[in-house]
Amino acid sequence: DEADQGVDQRDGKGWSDSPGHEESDANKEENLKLRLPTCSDMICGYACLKGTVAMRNTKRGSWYIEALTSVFAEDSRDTHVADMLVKVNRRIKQREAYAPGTEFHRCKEMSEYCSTLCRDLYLFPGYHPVN
Amino acid sequence: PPIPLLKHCTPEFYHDHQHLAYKLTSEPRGLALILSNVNFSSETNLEYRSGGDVDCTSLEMLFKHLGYQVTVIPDQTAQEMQNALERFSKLPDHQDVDSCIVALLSHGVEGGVYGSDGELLQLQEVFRLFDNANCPNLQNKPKMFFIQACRGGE
Repeated sequence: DEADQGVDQRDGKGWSDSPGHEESDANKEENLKLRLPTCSDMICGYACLKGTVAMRNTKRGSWYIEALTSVFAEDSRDTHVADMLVKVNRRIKQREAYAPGTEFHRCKEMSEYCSTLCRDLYLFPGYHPVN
Repeated sequence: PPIPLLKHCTPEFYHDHQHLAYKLTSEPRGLALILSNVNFSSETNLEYRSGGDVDCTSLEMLFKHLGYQVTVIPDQTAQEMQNALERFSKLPDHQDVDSCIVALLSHGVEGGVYGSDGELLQLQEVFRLFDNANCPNLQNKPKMFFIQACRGGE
């Protein structure tokens, strides 16, 4: 028999016009057809944290891109993307600016990533499926 | 600096891990777009990003080695970046591949990156172009974004 499952409400402002059940008027028909949230399956890596600067070496390029390319080249064979971005975080955390005589000397940076991924994201480099 | 040689995954690794992973076997693995702003118009007070060319080249090589079809577009205004991203997001080729990469390299603030004209491109607008409503060809496929830009001044 059908037990009362309750209804889902959202925390935050703006839900009070429809207190009885979850509802969003925008694109209602489209959403029903898609059966997907508007946004999913994305991962975004940021060189630095909100409110801070990202560092760049005039010869070697940005700290973040340097760490990203070397970690991905070394580890994509057996590590998924979110875990590689954790390793990038570790490298960025360790680094310190070299710019004697400027305000940036010995300054730090921290990277981060945001994810709506729903599975492991392995790049499987060089793997070709056999039909 | 040259990136280390990319190591390939073994068939055994693939077979042991593909069950919990996104499907990622198409050739190419996906399309990749790099928008790299290094030169900014003189009225903007945004400095030349020395070393930015190194970033752009190493990312391009990395994505190619990873099996992506890469497009690089340098020094675009905010409107041109928006247009390029919109065109890219609507390419029919996304339908036949398993993933997508977008990299934005520029000066920036929290939530936005600068075009070469000193105007801002909002990142929310970038993500919106690739979401499930606006980019049906990439629904349920992993989409990677890499943002090299400042997010404030401290």
